[in-house]
Amino acid sequence: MEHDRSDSLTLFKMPLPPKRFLAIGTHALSNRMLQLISALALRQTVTVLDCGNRSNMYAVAKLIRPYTSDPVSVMNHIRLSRAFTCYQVLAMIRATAKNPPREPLVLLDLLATFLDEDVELKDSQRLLTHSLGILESMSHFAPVVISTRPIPAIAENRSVLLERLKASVEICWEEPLPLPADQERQLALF
Amino acid sequence: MGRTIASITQTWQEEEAALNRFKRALRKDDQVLLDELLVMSRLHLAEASYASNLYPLDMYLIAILLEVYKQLKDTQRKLYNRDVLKDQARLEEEDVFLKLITNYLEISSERQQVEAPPQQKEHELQVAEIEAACAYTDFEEAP
Amino acid sequence: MSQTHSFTGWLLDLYLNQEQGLSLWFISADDDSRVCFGQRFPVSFYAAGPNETLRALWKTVSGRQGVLSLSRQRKRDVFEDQLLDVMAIKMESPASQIKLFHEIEEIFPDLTYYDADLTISTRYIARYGAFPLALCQLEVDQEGLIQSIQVLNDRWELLPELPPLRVLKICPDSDPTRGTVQSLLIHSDRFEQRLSLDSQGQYLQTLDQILADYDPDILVSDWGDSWLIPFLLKQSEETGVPLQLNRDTSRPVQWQNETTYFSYGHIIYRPEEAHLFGRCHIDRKAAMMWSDYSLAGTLEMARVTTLPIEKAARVSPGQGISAMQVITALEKDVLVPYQKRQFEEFKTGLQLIQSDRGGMVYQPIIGLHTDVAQIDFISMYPAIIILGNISPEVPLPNGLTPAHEDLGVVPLTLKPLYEKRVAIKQKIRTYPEKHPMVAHLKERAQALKWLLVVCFGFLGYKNARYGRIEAHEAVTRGGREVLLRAKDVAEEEGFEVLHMYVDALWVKKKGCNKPGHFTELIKKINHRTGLTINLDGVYRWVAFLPSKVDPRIPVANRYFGVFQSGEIKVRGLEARRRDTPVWIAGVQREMISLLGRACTPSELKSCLQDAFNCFQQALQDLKSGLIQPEQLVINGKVSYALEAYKASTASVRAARQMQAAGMAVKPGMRVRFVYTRGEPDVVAWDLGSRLEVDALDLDKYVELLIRAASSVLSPFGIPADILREWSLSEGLQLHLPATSYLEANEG
Repeated sequence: MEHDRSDSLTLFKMPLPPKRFLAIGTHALSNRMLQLISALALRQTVTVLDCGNRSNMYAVAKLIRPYTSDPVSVMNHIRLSRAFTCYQVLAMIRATAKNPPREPLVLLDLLATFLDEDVELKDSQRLLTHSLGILESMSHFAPVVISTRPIPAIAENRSVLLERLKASVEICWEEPLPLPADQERQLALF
Repeated sequence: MGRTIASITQTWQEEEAALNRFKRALRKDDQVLLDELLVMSRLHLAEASYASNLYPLDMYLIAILLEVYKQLKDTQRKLYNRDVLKDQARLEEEDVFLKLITNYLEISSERQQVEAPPQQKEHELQVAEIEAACAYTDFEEAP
Repeated sequence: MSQTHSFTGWLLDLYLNQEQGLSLWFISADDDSRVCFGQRFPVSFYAAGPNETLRALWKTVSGRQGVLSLSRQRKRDVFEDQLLDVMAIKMESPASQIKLFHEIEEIFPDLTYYDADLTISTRYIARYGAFPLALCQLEVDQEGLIQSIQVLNDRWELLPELPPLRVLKICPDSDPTRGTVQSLLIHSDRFEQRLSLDSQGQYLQTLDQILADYDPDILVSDWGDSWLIPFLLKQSEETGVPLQLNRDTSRPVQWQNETTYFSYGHIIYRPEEAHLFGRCHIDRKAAMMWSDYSLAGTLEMARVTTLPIEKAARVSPGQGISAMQVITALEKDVLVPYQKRQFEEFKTGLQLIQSDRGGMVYQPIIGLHTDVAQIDFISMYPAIIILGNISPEVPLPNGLTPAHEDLGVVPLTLKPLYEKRVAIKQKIRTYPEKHPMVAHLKERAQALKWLLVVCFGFLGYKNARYGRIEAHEAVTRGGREVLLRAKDVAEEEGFEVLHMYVDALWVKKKGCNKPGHFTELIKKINHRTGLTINLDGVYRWVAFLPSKVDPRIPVANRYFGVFQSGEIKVRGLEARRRDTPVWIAGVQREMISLLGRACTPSELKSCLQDAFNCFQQALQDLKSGLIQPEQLVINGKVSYALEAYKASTASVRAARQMQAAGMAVKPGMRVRFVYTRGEPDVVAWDLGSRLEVDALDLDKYVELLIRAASSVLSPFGIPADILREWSLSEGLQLHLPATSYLEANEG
């Protein structure tokens, strides 16, 4: 199969079962998520909800090029929408759930807008709880893959959001934290 | 709402960065030439953006071709113009030469007229002889 | 019914009043008096959601103080196709509405609320049509309550009858952040006075008397928000000398908190604001656009946006446009959502690549060009929004032809604004150039221009109630189409297109050097695009500059030139940048204006020598220490909290000095500094320490001067390297080298 090689693009083992996955890492693991979207789009339709301006479609176009002679069709497998506030994120998830996709759903940088200090933490929490509830019901039909970044120090009081997100998924992958420069691993001499 | 898709300048920078290793390995003279090619592709960023092709690099390559072709046409035109100018110069030279001869002949005939009017007939004859000598003759009829 | 009397006057100020609802200040049209009336002003807001939640809400609010009625209504949400079932909550006053809304929002956060956070001025104009400085006819009862109000003019009137405003200016004699203020300069149309500050507060007494006698409508200050008013209030408290800044003597000065926000790619810091009651305080140093359109523009801004004058002077034009859109919605009886919830419609990956694009920005042909016409589309994006009926709630056009008949909220808001600006510009042409009305009208047109400009940006702003990403994209798509059509026409007509930039084209054709030569082209472009294009002018010469990094690469918005009228146009050069020291910007401007004297290419040679001499003289002055530090201050900026910076820029180093000195540094704040020799290499200007010329890092300033000069001289074949080399020759008078451009022209 031409597409099989594209498995090397993904973080999780393909094909994905209908479960909730979470990937945590710097830049909300943008590159790896775009790789995942590429691998999925090579096979089937994939719905992408971009919550943090992460859907760089030029990168996807480049990733699929070696695996297809018809990149336009593959790009058309991707259905995506963007939200720029947490109110919009919830509205977008609700709208998606009206006709829940039977194919994978990918949410990029889910928590980005929930960290916005213009929105009170209790509102952020409430909106996130709603969003996660809907995502849970959608994951019965198709895999739901969420990416997010670690909570930055400046928004430390919002760590509870990440904890809640972690608690709501079934499979979680966390990028190993890079060691500080002065503690870089030194091999034992002998 | 910020832009999600990289701007055309960003995609250009990405493609330029992707060439770094290739460029580094090139000989210095070739590096300079590659730089010049890349500058050419930058001259059509607006058009590449408007095209919104899945692969902007394709547009940059076309832009390079376009600019190189433009230079080629320009060079061709210059060469052509130079040839035309050369021809013109040659024709002008011939013209000058003929004028000189004519002048010379005119002056000498005038002198002869003043100095020895009776010889004029002889001169006309000479010219007629020259003309006869230069007249076209078919090969077959040639002696 | 109690007896009433009639009153005619201009509305000056309007604010909440706990007892009566509203307080409204008027300038009488009969006797020039200033009068305050009250008005009862019941308001409604709405909630939508599941029936059981609405029932619970009903139970919670019924019988609460201030609630006049609860009812079920069917109203229109601009983003919904069907009418919506909503609960209408009518409150007896705006103050009680705000209070109740905040309470129920806590209890029922998942309901959708409408008309919940509208400002008083917005509600008032939507109901009565009255706006700042509207001429109104009132019926007032014996208790001073307005029983009816009729507005006698509208926001769109070209030359409205205006009240004779009393404007008082109060300015400290020096920058209070740089030193000690000794006195206050007081200025009005009737008098001018200097008040020396004294520790007993006698000057406060005089000032209080002036305020009482002159009774100004508008108080214009310098550093009023950040220094003057806090200082005066503190002094009044300490000395016990009373000072009444408000006309409404029952109120203290109201403070609006400082804020930092993101606007059009910039982080902006706005300090605390001092608001007055019954009169308006405008701090010129805090008024964002004051330098652009001054008082006439500010009043125009207040008039069309209906924002209170104090607000209109300080906020960004975006907030003005937002207020206007809300009014349009209210006038159409459309609900105004409290929280924007619209997200992007689904696109494919390919569609995203195709749609997420900006305006057309070409790469100009680098170098000097003569007899070039610049033609601009008049307010291109607003015109496209109106022509294409681009609004978040209507079907969008795929090009320029509207996909829907009835104008949506956004074009409906823009149309009168656009038409008013065009009408003002036409009016300007009817006056002689030096007529006082010209400057006045220009300021007003400028204010309207800003509103039109930001309207497009607001379509794409995440929190804009009437923003929608697809609408934003439809406008840029239309813009690209328009520009390409214009290019097609120009080329069909035999013009060479030297450059195109979003809404402007630079074209030339042999033999075309007078405005009339471009009339036919303009007519044809107007016809092909459906938009109005205008001849900005014909340049005697214009120079498109390359990138500073690579001279082979053109830059879209870096050029300067001289129109045939002698007017100079500069874009993207150091002189236009806010961070360039005043003196360097001045030298660059002077060099350009010397070049601008040349009417023909042959005259350029002597002008070029003059410009070059100007640079040499400046260089000499700088090296001789003749330029004072205040002329060399760099106006930097910090965009983030200082802790967030990993690399230390000069601005950040200066800001850290300020922080260390106990001064507050906020993201978006401007940080002024000078380059100094040794350590530290910069000194924050606002630390106030006295700096001698010797302490300055002159080499750094020489380099800045060379860069500014080379931007001007490089199109004439004099690169920065040569200037740099010559800068090392001490005091030598140099002559211009032969330049390729001039030789070519002489040849």
